[in-house]
Amino acid sequence: MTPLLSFYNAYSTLILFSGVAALLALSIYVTLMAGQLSLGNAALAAIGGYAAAILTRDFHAPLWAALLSGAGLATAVATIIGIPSLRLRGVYLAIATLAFGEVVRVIALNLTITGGALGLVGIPPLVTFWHVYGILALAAFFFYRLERSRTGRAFAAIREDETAAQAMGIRVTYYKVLAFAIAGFLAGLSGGLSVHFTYIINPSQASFSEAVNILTYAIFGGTATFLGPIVGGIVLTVLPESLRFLREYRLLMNGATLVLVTIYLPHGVLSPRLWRGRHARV
Amino acid sequence: MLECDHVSVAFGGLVAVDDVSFAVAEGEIVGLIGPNGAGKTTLFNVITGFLRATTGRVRFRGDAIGGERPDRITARGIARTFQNIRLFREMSVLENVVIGRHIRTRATLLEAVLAAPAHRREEARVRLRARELLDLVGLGPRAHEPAGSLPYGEQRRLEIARALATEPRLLLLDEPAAGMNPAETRALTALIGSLRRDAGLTILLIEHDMKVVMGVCDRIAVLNFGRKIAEGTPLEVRTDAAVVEAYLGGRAAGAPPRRRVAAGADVLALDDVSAGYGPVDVLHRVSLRVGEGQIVALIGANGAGKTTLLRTVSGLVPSRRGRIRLHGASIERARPERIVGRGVAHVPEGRQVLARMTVLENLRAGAYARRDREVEDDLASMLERFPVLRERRRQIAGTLSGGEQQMLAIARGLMSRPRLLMLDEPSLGLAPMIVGQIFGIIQELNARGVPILLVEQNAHLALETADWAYVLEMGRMVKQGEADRLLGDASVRRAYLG
Repeated sequence: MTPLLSFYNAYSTLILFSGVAALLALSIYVTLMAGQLSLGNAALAAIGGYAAAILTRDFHAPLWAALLSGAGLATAVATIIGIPSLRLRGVYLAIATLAFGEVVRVIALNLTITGGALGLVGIPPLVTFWHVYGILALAAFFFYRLERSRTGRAFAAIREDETAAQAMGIRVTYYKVLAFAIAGFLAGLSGGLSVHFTYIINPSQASFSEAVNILTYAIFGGTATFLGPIVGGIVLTVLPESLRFLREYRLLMNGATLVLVTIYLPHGVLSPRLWRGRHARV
Repeated sequence: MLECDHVSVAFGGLVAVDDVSFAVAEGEIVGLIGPNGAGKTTLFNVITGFLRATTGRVRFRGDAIGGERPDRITARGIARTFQNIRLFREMSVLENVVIGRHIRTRATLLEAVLAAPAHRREEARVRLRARELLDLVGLGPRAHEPAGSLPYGEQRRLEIARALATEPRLLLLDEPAAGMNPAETRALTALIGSLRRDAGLTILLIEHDMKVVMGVCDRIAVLNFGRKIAEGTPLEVRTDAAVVEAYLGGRAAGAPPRRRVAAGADVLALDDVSAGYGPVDVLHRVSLRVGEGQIVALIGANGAGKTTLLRTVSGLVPSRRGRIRLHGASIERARPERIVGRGVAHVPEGRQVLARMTVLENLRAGAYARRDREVEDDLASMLERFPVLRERRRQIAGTLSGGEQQMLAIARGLMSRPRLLMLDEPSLGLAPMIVGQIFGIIQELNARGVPILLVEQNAHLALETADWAYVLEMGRMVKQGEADRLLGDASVRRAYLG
């Protein structure tokens, strides 16, 4: 057995979690690109997770069909909540999307098909390293191209000045809904992936603290390019584990890290101001 | 091409535009003038879809466009610039223009992700076109700088380039010359003329600079209190009695010539000061004096460093070398709030009133650093001096017109009972009559003993008002002297007076 393989076997769950966290961070990043602070991503991931789990566990659907169905459902829900949410700005949008997360959590708690408070167990182990990191690589490539496209520029214009963006002929509502839909797809996909290597899902995955975790990934890594959220998701997943010797204080470290980053690196770890010259889009 | 037919706009009880009708024919350049608060920008917002007319109709090339979304109207071929400049400040100059191409490009997200040839060709065309437009407005060399870092006049030109990128047939310009010096204004006037000649554009513009309006417009419509009070050729409008009374003001608008004051003891002294943002110095070893009782003017081209100098005195830009003394005490290391506490009031360019607070709250905020009990007395005298502000004292500052905001910004600065008042472009975006009033106020304040450091694009007015003046060029002091001498200086006239 090669050393690399034995390393992977020892830490496989952590490595898979890191990849999923990076996907979730990208899902919040896409709405931030368009200037929208949406905190519904944990709930969208839970929707994708429940849908995919039910399909593989109870209906023996193939993994790819389950993943796409879960992502599709989350996309549909994100679009539906996206449209009315667009009347809201800034912190009000954040509150509304948090409330949406609570609604999802309570529904999952009370439905039979979602297994109530216990959630679903015995989900088949179908996801491997290549699934998670293959999808992450595709997503990263997607964002690399998106940032250099007309659509990406429309997002950035809306983020900087909605009125000016409209005066440039940009359909603000359309692009905001599009950002929400992409966010829903990525979140739903990551939910579908994670249930197939944790084998369980329960309502707490739509909770407030999960939603905030996802935001911290993006803030920690920085939102100037898609690399920031990816790095943030991976580092903040690995960090608490590598600090196990601190015992119960280790969770404190995540908070402390975030405080330090927001004070000393307000644009995140991967800020273009720190890595000058690397990021020239035009 | 454009017809406004009995258009009215009411905000609650306030009628901002009152039954205005006018038309713009293809290929015309039409000016829209009138005092601040007359409803000019409101009318622009109606035409471009940002506001809906309460009654009346707007037609563009025969189609009714009232109530359409702004992006649809842009797609139809109407582009605009904004009075209060709305660039994408964090993006580069080039990116701003590239975004302007949005509506004229078609590549889908899928094509972009797959880097399809169609997408690549389109991107190359977009960049090429954006470069051409930047060259047209003279910003080619600045393509990769952040838009927010450009001086005011260049930001205005960038907004024009960005608007042109949408391929309009009708271009609406909202105070394009505000913040430009005479040389830049001449270049702008030439640009506007060439847009019609070479690109076949029809142009509707709001402008206070009468040289621009009289120079390029075929026809002028005049608004006052939301109503159209006159329309005609520049000559007809200029001699119209109602227009002169409402807008242009009498000949003596600039206030009587004042007695020049010789420099007393130094209030403010800069010695060998260098300062700037990031790694680059904007000011290079600059020295300057403001004496007791003086009005000192600082003139120079856009980007010369005038605003930076004021910001350095205020402590908003750190100085890298040299000394800054206020009444003999060094302040170059002091924090901005301490400098305000020592009696420096800085009225910034572009006003920067606290937009969500009322007029009264803004004025009280100006007295924040004071501990004495006469704040209420000063508040009362301020409202007396600025009757418009008294009328609007409970109004939210962001809803005031440009001129009213400028008055509020000056009044707010005065609330700190400054021992030195620094004014950055007080005439920016103001109607001629209001400019006369503001400069009257400046002289009156000075007569009561407040020394003033004045930065002003309207160099003529600045030199007429000031005792002493400095000329700043590329961050260096190149000339100083008695203001009236500079007014007669041939090289100064050529460069800044037009």
